[in-house]
Amino acid sequence: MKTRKRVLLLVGSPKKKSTSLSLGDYLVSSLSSFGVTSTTFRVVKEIYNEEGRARMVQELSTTDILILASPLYVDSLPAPVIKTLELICSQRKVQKNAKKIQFCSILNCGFPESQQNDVAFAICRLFARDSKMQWVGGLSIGEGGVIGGEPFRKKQFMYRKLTRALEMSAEALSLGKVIPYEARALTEKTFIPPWLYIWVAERSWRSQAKKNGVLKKLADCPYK
Amino acid sequence: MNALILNGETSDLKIEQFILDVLADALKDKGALSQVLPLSEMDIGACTGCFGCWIKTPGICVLNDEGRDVTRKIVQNDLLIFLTPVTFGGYSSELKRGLDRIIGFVSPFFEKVSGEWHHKMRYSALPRLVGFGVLSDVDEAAAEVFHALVARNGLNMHQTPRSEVLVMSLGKQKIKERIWNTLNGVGCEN
Repeated sequence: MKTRKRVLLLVGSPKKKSTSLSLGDYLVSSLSSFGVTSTTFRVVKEIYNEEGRARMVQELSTTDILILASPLYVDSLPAPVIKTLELICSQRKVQKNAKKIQFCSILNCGFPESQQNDVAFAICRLFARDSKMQWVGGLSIGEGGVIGGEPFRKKQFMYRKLTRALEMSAEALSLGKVIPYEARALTEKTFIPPWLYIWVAERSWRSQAKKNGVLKKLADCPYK
Repeated sequence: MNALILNGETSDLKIEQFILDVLADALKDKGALSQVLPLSEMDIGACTGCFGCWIKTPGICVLNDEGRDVTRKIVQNDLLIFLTPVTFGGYSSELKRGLDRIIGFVSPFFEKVSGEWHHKMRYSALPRLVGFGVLSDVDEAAAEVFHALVARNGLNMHQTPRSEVLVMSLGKQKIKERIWNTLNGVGCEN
């Protein structure tokens, strides 16, 4: 009997509801339709305690596909994600016959341009190299604030290219293949025109600052 | 001139003392007062992604720990040096832990820089940025990613930074030369 493939999803966002979690969840949900089972590891919650780290290492020992869904922080991966990758790499480096694992990333940033994720992707590729995993590509998403932790079924038309890309990726991963270029190309297009995204984002900052009573303090320079 | 060195060594990957000594000597020789922040020893919690540093306490992180000191000291210095083991081409988790907490030093609002959207500067002047990455052996792929990352960070600070990869296997003399050459390149001449 063919053993079911197992996925370990690392979610890099610290937020309870996040774009990264929405993306990761949709991908693993699509993978489940191909018979793939999954476990989710909320990196920020678990990497800084011993039990969490032990659980992650244990899960990894039976994982066939490792997926990282993460926001971009200061042009690369958030610190807890890097710490997780450091731990995984240090474990696998010393294993003589490390289990074959495929690794992919779905990265999202708050800027309109998805290519601002490029350096973070390069870091993911080198992590795969150093950890003796097979890099199978990923998806790069800009305007991450548009999703903001919403489930995709709420605005199906706006997310149609994204969901199609995730479904294509799931099919490829279930067959042990790399994420196709066509899927990546779908996610590199913006959801809404960049000027509109910027306008909505800035309006949102002002609105939230006003609610917090600091609208007039937005440009404060407290350290000079 | 005041220089701030963010030391991103980890418990597994230490930065050799001689590198810190060379940096200190080079900066002193160039008339700079320098301070090292040993990030792995500091109480810096993980960024919670709340954007409170923009919309609740503008410019100040809502988490009241030593993470605030990182931003404050960056803003108050003239030269900012990242010193880190090169980790998959990027920064170590310790350096990143400090850097994840500094976005309060930019504005939430946007402008185009070199054809890309980036955040506006909150402060009229930010320190010049230099990134030193440490590798045990030559690794061209990792070095290339490291330089790209420092360049992107520089873009977010609206500047062209300098970066150098220090390869331990090339020996102390080579490393010393590279540190001095790099610092000369950011206008730290005698």
